[in-house]
Amino acid sequence: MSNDADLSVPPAEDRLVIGIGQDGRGDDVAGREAVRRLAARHVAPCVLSDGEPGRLLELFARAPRIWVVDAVRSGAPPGTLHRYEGPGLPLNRGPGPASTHGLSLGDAIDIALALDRQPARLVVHGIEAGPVTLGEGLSSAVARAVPRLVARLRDELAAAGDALAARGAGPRA
Amino acid sequence: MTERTIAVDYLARVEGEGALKVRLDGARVDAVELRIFEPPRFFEAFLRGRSYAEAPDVTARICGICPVAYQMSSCHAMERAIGLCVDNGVRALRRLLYCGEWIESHTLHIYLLHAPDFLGVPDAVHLAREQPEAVRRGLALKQVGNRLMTLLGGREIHPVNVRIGGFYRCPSRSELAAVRPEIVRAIDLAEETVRFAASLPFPPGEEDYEFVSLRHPEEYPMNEGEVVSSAGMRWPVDDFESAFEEVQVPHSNALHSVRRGGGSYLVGPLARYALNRDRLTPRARRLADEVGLEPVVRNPARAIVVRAIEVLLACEEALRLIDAYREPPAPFVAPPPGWRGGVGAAITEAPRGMLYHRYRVGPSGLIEEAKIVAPTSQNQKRIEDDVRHLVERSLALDDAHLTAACERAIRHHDPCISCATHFLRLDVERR
Repeated sequence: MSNDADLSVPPAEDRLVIGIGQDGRGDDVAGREAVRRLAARHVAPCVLSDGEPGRLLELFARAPRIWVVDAVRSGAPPGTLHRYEGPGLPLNRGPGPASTHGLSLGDAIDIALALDRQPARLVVHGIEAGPVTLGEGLSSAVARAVPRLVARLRDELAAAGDALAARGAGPRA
Repeated sequence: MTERTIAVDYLARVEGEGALKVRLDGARVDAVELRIFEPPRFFEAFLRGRSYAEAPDVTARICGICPVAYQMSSCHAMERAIGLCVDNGVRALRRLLYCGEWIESHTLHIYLLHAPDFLGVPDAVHLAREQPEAVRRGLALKQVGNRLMTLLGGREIHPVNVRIGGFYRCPSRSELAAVRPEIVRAIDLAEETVRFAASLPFPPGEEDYEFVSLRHPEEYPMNEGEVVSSAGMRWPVDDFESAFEEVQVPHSNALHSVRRGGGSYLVGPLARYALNRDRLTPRARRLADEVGLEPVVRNPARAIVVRAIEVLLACEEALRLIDAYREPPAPFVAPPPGWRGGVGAAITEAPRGMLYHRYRVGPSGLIEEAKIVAPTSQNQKRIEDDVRHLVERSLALDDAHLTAACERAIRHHDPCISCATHFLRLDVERR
């Protein structure tokens, strides 16, 4: 429940990394934590979100290429990394047991499609969550997996062509 | 006699996590239990031993949808404990920030959560496919709310610019003027939203509510006022706990709030509107008349129209506040040196209704006791009553249709279950 620094996003970037999750709810924060660490490496513009779909749709409009990083539940062991790209993302629709919102990331993506607002490229990185207990931090399995996810994101964004785009990434002044 | 049990394991399109159980014995409704099974929230306990100054930031994290409400109630309560008076400029900025939250929260509920119930579509995704222009309008309007929250709160979720006594930094006149064109456009969108909401087909069914809200001598209530009831009662904020009590029920982690000596009551848009219609802006009142919104709305389905009227009011208020804004001489006032603690309570109007905070702060400035009564815990008993009446008059429906109707009855009130759960003290009796 600490007041983490928001991450600044200059308008009209060509890509944006969105870390979704909530602090103080166990592994729910995994995606947010990975993007917080990625931002410190100045690889790409990063922003943190609570995943509310209306706000996600606004973030999708900020750049043509979007990377979303979120905790997921698929039944795999906690800390397992997932990556999805392209049509037919296997994401839940509607609320799940760990949802704090009436709508999910999958719903936000579907609404973007229906409104013709989908990003030109959308990549979702998931990290399998263990417990999402209120007042807790990351579980040890997920904490160990976060650096691997950060490295994977860093390599992928570098391979995407503009590794040195350090514009604007970093803690807000 | 056939027994029927209607169970909804997860309530779709409701903030947080909840479930409903209805038990029927033939034509008799034996029990209606709105269950809250989200892990209990430790916030009241978490606040104890922390500095009085941390209350706005800590409580803002209770809910991602209404953080401003938590910040406002905690600031006002602490300022009453300290005896602080804030500048009029700070007061105006707080109301402007609250307008942003009302716009955002109500618009989310109107378009993405509630409207699908009346249009025969399962969810917002289908609504976006069938009526993309409506959803685009909703998102554009919601974005204006976000913009105000970002400008004043420092960021759109879990705002960090609010502090006891004011703000860490106040915007300049020109910063506020920069959003003026967006607000002007939002007023038109809000008016279209009222017409959209009023055109929806509503199921019949009126409830005999006791409405409770704040009432202010001049304004539609947000930050200040006394507590009034449609039963003709009025109480100063300091009497809230003697007029209302929270009772523990076995089936829920949340506490049920009831009026002492009375029963359930309703807070939120229907209550605010019924008790403060004369405080609406002239344009909002005219439009309410035009779309046929009676002075007291007792059909909970039509709360969507009342929310839309409140969005229009909030947009108009935002414009008025921006135009009249004078930057305060200082962004905040600090407690006087040598302040030795005290007790303070406050109520503000969260989008979903009255949010009560009371704090006891010790001589070293540490919180010794915190009490938070969220709108959804006040409405929970009343929502169960709504569901009971709905079931009683819908017994002919099969289970699937009855279940869907119950879910809709709950969604009319936009319950925020994340806010409603409390940490309960457990007393163990050993023999």
